[in-house]
Amino acid sequence: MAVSGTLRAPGGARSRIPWDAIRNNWAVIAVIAFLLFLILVPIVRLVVNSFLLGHPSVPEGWTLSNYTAAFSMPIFYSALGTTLWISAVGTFITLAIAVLFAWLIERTDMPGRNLAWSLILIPMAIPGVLFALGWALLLAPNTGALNIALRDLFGLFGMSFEKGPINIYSIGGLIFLDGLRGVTTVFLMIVGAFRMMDPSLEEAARVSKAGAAGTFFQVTLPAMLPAVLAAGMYSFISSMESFEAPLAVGLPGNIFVLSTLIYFTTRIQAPMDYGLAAVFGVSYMVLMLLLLVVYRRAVRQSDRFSTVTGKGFRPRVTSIGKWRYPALAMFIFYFLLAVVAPFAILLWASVLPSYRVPSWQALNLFTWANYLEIFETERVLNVVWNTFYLMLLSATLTMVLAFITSWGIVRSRVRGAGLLDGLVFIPHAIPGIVIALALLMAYLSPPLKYLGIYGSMWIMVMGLVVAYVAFGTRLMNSAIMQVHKELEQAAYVSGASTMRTLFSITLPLLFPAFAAGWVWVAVHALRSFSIPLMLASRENEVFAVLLWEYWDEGTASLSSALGILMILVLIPMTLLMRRFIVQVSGQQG
Amino acid sequence: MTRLSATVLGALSAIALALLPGTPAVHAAELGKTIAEITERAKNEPPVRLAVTWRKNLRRTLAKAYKKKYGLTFKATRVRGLASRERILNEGIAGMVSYDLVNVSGELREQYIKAKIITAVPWAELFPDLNKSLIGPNNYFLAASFSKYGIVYNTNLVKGADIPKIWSDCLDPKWKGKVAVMTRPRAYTALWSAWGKEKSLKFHQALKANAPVWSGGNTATATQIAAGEQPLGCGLGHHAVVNAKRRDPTAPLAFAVPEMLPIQIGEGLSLMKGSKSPNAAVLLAGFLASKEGGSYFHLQGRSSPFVPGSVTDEMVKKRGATLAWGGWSWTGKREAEASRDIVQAWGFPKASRR
Repeated sequence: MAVSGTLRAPGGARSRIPWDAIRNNWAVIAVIAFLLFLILVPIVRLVVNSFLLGHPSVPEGWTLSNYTAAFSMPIFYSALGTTLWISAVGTFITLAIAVLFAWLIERTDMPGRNLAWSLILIPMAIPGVLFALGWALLLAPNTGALNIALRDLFGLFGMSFEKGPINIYSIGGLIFLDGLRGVTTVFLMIVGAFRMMDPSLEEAARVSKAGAAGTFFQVTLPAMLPAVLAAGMYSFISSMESFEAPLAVGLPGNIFVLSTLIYFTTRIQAPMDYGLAAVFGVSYMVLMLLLLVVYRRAVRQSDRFSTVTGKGFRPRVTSIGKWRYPALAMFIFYFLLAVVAPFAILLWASVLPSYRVPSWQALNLFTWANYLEIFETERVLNVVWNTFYLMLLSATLTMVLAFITSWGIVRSRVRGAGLLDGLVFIPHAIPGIVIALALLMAYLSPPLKYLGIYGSMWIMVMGLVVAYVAFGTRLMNSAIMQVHKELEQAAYVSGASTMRTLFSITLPLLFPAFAAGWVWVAVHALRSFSIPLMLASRENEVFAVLLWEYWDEGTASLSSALGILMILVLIPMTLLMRRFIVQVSGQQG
Repeated sequence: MTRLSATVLGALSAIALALLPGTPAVHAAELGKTIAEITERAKNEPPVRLAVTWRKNLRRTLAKAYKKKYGLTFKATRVRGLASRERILNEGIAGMVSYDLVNVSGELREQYIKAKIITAVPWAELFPDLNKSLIGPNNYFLAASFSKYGIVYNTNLVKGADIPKIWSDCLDPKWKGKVAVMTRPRAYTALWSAWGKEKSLKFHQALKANAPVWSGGNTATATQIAAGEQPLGCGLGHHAVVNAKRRDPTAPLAFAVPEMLPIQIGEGLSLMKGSKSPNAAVLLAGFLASKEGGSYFHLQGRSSPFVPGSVTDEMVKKRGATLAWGGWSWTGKREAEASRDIVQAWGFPKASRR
């Protein structure tokens, strides 16, 4: 649908500078300006800091040496290469699995399709860091539970391994984790396209005597290709930003990606070097922006090959005959890898005083002490409250800002609306670790350091708002486009102000989209990791930070207990999200 | 401005304001001039807020002892590694004073002074019985405990003649790809002060050639060794073994004292500017650095090697080892530089090009 309407401008006259529109919509403009401030100021500060020596708050002069040092480091190029390689292969695996399941669940008669639709969302309830930690316990070369089982199994056939056979602390391990992690998101991005695809194309193939597999590879997949490529590009960008698995599994294997290089330079390595980290951050950001441009082109391209038409139809279900149960087995295997295995090993670790390889003998050490310790620790209570606070505020602020900004973008025909749309989309390309680094530098340097925001919950909320606002505006842009402006015009005629119209007329109509966005941001805020880890202080510690601290401190059992509790909270929230997703896709479809 | 516009913007501002109290206003109290004055003032101050490495057992023991001596209490928050101290530094710069007394890592001590967030205290005048070597230059820091580093091994996997005895055992090709080494080289910066640059770099290049497994924290690494993921770790703290065994007494871990035992200040305490309880904090620091206070640190494997008869002292004597410690002049810039050269030899990003 084309963008229609303008910002409210009584009198209809349009001058070069739309003063009337500015006067009538100043609150909207103020909110948008606030959002741009949140996004742009830290980015500028990051760039400035890349030319400074010393700590951001007490700089020791201007320099180009940060750049010369960074670009002459072999580790920078190897980290870049590793990041690209892991992302490319990981994305390929993600796409293959997600496309297959989208087709099986939406378009075939695989048994248990409805349940599978819900189950495929559960991986979202396992934060990336827990997923990686779980697999570290399963596939550590010497003590990994799965590795030991594999060694025993191979032993039956006379093959012996000193360690392994699988090493999770390797590039292959990171690719495996990356490939599995992204499946749910990509599935959600393409499943709608599979549902809405015109079945006459497939029917024509079947009439021509093509089999189910032939129809899938020769008709369905090519028709879906633009949507799949766009989702693949999105997945690639997400993989490039990945931080949790490279931190938990990459660093012990001496494998650096760009995100962990920044973390290592500012949080682990002594002496810490913010100038160098800023250069890594700027380079990372530029690379991601280039990828973003490619992604937007891919999305535009995908619209040109639309197979979803206005013609009424019901998607056809393809019978896969004897492959029904193997398909289900494949889904169960995926679910075991993505959810059951990491959850089970974390559960095991959580009931032992310290991690032991699963055995009957180790079971004698069974204890609830870790859970009791969590509930007895005063700090945990603060952390739970902070996490709840962070989730609530980030989700609400992100969606309110996204709603008002999207309304400004969609309803405005003034020059610059497209630019504004682009600006609020930029954070999508900025990895969480870079957003956190930029905020840290901005709010530790004068003049913003005098606001006293560093160390408070506010800086973390800002980080998450910046990280998720691009998603919010995408969702709200498409939702607002579907509400005709005449409803709002009727409110203006009745004397309602812009804000009143927005919150009394427009927002209630868009509530499913708003709520879906809210739940999405809330779930992501709850499991967010890189931003809280970089910006945490005594006052604003959240769940993910505590969890990592326990793990990093060597108390894998405590960390696992905390993780299990976190997953149990996230599962119902994730399923709630499905309800809204279904509502929104129903509304938009 | 319409009513609803005002309400929405007002609500957003209210949220912002509600979040801002994360940065409390600083109402610093004044430090007394004499120990009598300090003791008197301390009685009216809130409990001391500490950022230290203590675990629960040590915290409880010290809380009892401090209360018995002065009738005062404290609230300790556990910090570990560089990141948490860097956060406190950043908080101080941003005007947050969440602690009265902070354990500052050697690599960050100069930064704390430069950022002007800590206060010098005339420790020797206030506590004449203190061992003077515990007092840092310019009176900014007071050492309360010492960490010692050696070789940690899994007693099930490393036995008899295989048990490492000297540092060069870590370079033995039979351990190739099996030795855990922490990326924060505290053990090796202390050894650097004894070995010098040339010998140190040669050692670290050989260590890298032996393909070590890089690790994060001391206790995390010890736990991995106990689980059998690596058979041994070189340059790990004795406190890691003590902590791991406290949690799981059956953990198969042991600590080997090499020919030279590197030590570092475990608790380099400093009084934060803007402290609400400076007098009680100074009393506490003085108590912790005293012979009585220091005697409790063996609970965490951090007793002082300079106190005759302490666990560490006995350990050194039994092995016939020598201590490697550069003293206060070694901490700060020199330690940071040694650290930089070591991580560069290991192939990590080289920091600080000044």
